[in-house]
Amino acid sequence: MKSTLRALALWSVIFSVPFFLIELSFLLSPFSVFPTWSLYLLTSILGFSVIIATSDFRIGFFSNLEGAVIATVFYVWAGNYLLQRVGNMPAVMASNAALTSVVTKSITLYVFSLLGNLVAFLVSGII
Amino acid sequence: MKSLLKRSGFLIGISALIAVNLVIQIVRFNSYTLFMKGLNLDVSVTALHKTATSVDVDFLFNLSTNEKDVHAFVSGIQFLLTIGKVDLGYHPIVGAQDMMGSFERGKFRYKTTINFSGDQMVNLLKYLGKKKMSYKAYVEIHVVQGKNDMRSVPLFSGYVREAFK
Repeated sequence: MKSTLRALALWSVIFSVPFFLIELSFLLSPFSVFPTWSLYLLTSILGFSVIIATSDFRIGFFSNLEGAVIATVFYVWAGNYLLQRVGNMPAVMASNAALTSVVTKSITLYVFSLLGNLVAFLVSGII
Repeated sequence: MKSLLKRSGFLIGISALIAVNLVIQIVRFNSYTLFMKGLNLDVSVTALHKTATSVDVDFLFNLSTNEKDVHAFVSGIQFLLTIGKVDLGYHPIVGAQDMMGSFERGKFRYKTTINFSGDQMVNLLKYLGKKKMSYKAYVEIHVVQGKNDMRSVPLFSGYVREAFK
C-alpha cells in the first residue's frame, strides 16, 4: 500500500513535467513547428506511454490524472505571469492564457491523454 | 532499473520531442516580439505636383526594425491624414495582389502617390508649410514563421516629414 502510494506520487510528479510542456506549447501554438492537431496526437501518445512506463494500470491512470492537475496549477501561474509580463502579446496568446481557457484546454488535453490510456489498456491487455 | 528505463524510453522520447518543439516556439516568439516592439515608421513627402483640379503628393514610407532576420511582408496601409486640425481624408494603400513588399534586412520602403482634390486640395494648399501634417497609419504586417502567417495591424502616428525642395 505504502509503496504504491510512493510510486503514485513519484509518477504524478514525473508525468506533470511533459504535461506542463505540452500545455505551454498550446499557449505558444502560433509559433509551433508541428501543426496544432499533431500536438493533440502527441498528448494521446503521452497518455499511452505513461501506462507503458509504469506497467501498472492503477498507477498509470491516476498519475496521469494527478500529473494533469499539478501541471494545470503551474500553468495557471505561468500563463498569468506571461500575460502580465509581455504586454503587447498578440490577442491569440492573450486569450490562450486566460483562466477559463486554461481550465477548458487542460480538461481537453486530459481527455486526449485519457484516450491514450485506454488504448494502452487494450494493447497491454492483449499482449 | 534497466527495465524501468526501457519501459519509460517512450515517455522520455515523446517528452524530448515536445521540449524541442517548445524551445523552438519560445525562440520564435521572442524574435517575433522583438520584431514588433522595434518597429518604427517614418513618413515623408518627396514631391508635389499641382494641376488645375488636383494635387498629387508623393509619399515615402520607411519601416524599420532591429530584428533583421525575420521574414515579414506588408500587405496594406490604412492612412489617415490631417493638417493642422483639418481632416485630409482616409487613403487606403494596397499593393498588387495584396502585397506591397517585404522586409529586407529589417527595412521596408514604399513609394506611392496620393491624389487630393476638392476641399482636401484647398485645405492642403492653404496650410502646407504653415502647419504640420500629421498621420495615423494602420500597417498590415504579416510575419511568416514556418508555415504560419501571423497578421497584425499596429497603429503608428506622428508627423509627416517634408522632404521636398
